[in-house]
Amino acid sequence: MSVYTRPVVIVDDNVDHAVIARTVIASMAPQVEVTTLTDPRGLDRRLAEVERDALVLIDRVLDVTESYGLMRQVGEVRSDLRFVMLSSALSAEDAERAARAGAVASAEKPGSLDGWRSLLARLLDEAEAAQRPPTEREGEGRRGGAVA
Amino acid sequence: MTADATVPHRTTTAATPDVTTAAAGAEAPADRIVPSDPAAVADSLYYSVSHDLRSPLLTMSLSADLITDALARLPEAAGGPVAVALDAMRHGARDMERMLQALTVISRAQRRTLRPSRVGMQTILGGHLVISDVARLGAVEVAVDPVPVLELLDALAAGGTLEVRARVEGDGVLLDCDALGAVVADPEVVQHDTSPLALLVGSLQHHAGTPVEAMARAQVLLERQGGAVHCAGGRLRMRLPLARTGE
Repeated sequence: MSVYTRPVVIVDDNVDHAVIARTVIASMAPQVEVTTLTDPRGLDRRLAEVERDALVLIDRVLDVTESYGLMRQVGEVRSDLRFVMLSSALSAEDAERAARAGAVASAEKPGSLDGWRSLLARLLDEAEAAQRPPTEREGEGRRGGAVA
Repeated sequence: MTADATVPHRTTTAATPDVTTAAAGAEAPADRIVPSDPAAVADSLYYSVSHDLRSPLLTMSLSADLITDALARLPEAAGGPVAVALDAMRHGARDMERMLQALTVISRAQRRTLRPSRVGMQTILGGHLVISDVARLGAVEVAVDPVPVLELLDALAAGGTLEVRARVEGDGVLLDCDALGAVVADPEVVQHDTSPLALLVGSLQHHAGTPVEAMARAQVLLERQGGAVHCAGGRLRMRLPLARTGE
């Protein structure tokens, strides 16, 4: 098992999905600190206050609004955050928009637990890899190399 | 990998309703404009059914998986009625997911950004066995986004060689493929004159996830560009609009 050090923030107004993602992470990496934000209100302020270097798993649609703008806005003041956009249904166009808004990756929410485990393990691995070695990340612009 | 109950899992839930304004910087979904005509309403319904219903379905599937995982640690539950019921629930959810996916495919085809251009038939038919009386067919140009056409022909070829009959008729190029028997589980359904989209929506249960879905998607994409896709006599026929001189 890899040692994951980055905190994870789950932003999803579907409480069930947030709980399931949190449960899967807990089973894979119990040491990881997980914060769930399920109320779409005031997310710009609350995301600006989350732990440094967090991996942020953000739902594409929060309430009735898409979260691209929110991600872009928070990214401007928190370039240390690593955004990954998740959605129950994600088209190629959605993935492109997510990348333009600053997401380092985007994915459709898997329909099985095994799928969730595989996806979250990959995202946690990538987040750790991006963090090593810390000295090389000083002053690095996160949004320069966004890929969907 | 299983949960380790001896290691504390620190979790913070922050769903405080302390701010009453909408998330700043959020964007209204551009594709959720209130439609004003029946076709747009139908399209909007496609989108809603395919996207919005997937979310609760996902919850049910994953919850069944979580319970199954927990039951796996209880040997006395194996094969019992709860395990059987969960298995049935999961199968039902996956079947529903397969059908929702078919609607998603059609919904996306209706919204996909197309890039029509002048494309030579050589580009469209390259790699396939072409039978045609048209002189220099490869140089004949059609005005379409070639990607959906290439995707459909590849799907019909199913990794093999596809035989395509081609002719120019009126203002289009007609392609006729005898590939349905190889890719449609029940070729009887395409013996009569119909469109793949009509077949698909006629029985999602039967056709979702099959090559009929790929054909229906291509039909939507081609019709948006003035083309057509049709099934008749067990064959698939496609019409691509000819590029006009000076276009």
